[in-house]
Amino acid sequence: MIHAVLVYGLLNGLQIAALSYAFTIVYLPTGVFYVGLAAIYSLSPYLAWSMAAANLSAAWAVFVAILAGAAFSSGLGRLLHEPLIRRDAPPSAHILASLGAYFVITESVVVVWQSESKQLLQGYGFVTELLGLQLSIAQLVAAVASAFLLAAILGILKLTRIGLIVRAASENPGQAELSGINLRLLSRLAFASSGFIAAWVSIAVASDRGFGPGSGMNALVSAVAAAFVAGRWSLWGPLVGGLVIGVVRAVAAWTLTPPWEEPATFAILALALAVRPGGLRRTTTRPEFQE
Amino acid sequence: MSYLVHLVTFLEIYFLVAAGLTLIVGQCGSLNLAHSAFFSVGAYAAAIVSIGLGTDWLIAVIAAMLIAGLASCLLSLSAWRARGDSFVLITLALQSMFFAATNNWYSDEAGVGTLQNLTNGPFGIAGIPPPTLASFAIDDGLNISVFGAFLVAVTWLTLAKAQSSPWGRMVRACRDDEIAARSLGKRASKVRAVGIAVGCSLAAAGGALYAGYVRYVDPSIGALDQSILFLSMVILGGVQRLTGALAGASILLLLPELLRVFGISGQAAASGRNIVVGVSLCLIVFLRPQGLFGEYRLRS
Repeated sequence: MIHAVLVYGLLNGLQIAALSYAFTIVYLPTGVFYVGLAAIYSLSPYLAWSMAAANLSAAWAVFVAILAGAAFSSGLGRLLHEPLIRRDAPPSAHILASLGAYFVITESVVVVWQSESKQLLQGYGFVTELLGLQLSIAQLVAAVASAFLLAAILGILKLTRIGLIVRAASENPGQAELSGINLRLLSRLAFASSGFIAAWVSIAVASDRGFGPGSGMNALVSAVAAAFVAGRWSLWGPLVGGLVIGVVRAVAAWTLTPPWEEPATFAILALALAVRPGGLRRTTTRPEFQE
Repeated sequence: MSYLVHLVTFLEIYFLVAAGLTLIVGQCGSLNLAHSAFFSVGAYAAAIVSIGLGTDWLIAVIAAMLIAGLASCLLSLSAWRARGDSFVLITLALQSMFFAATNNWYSDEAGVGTLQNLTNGPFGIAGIPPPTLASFAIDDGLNISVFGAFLVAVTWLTLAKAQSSPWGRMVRACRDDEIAARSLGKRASKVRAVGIAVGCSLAAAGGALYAGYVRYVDPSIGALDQSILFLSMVILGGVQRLTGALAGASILLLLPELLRVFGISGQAAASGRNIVVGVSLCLIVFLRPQGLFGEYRLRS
């Protein structure tokens, strides 16, 4: 039984890890604690669901919804955060503006689609057996989609020139700008990529577990916890943190009841921040950046 | 008339909560997203104490404030090491843990308020007895409103006095330049912990007043949306001043009434209010970061 719990935890952990990268891609180079990402996460499955309901094929509905997620996120970055970055606003101003955007988008979702939960892509619920485990097709599709996305993110960050630029700007934005890197362009790319990843993960999860207007904030908080638990400045941190949080949530749901998943996540986060504020995969911080 | 009394009572409840948050956000400089958790701690504590022990309501209110003050140590201990984003994340975590605790602390084999079934889970606690003060029943809405006005007046006078006292200046000094304050021998962490404890106790007092007035509490009062709403009150009005807390609470309380004038009510009014709150938060950050009646802008 325990191996099943571990596998389910790791599969969910992949989704948390992918969303965690969506958060850190914006957070590290710009310093923006991007709460608005939760709204993109909530909105995307509704867009896909509406387009599928309007007789668009499932593949097109998902594709357009993911692009719309990226466009919305890019818009939030351009309208809200870029002007605040130009004014050198404090982090709390970004959080408040982002919270405001989150409220507007999620409440608009409630007004348009009502607040009850919905299921995306009906008919993928039948169960198959793999390695002695019972997995639904939707669960497998979600896991494969998340694993593919994670591989793409890590590949881009580790192997490409744009990945190198993102990592350089994350580590030392001032130095990166002095070296000729266009931080404004990078920030726009970061917001759009972040929305793309969040929409992708959200639709993958929605096809497995359904979705509702409040699902974004819960998912984002787990993703942020993953980034902080394992070390937000490490390239592999969100992956390690996501898998750890996924397993912890699965064990909490198995030993207690599913509603205890969230407190278990935050108990780990609180412990990590108290014991190792830099995260499990802490990297040495230059003295001028130490808190 | 009774509807006006109802609105005034809710304004008093919101003011107590917003005043507490003003102390934490404006004076201590800690952005707190867990305030509704302390509001719900106060409401549940008052409900459980008045049902379980059958005590006078004032004692239940004081017990609620003490319990929330103690629970605030979780926040203060976090503030000891974490700053900025990390602190905000910890408050989010605490918010979620408190919400999960109130939502899940349930067993159908034990009575409400026992260790096995402390909060009655998602069903909440109903049948909270009408408030009494020294065996004088104040179950009438007007009486509760008068008692609420008394609490508001005491809170206002005490906080105004505290803010202009040496302690208030020390809190602001620790907020503005902690290292300088520490070099002068001030214990910044302790000062901040006291400020946070008082702020959380005020939220609990608001919660206890809510429990006594509505006579029913459930986990939704401690949800994240509520925390964002309380924070919006303080940000809209201005983070440092009590007039800001009162203005913010009044605006957000009267907004659904205003929407009702335009024929929007029920769930649509709640969503409409939240949309207006969201837009206001964005606008205030750009146009007037110190809030409508404030003078201090958040820096961390």
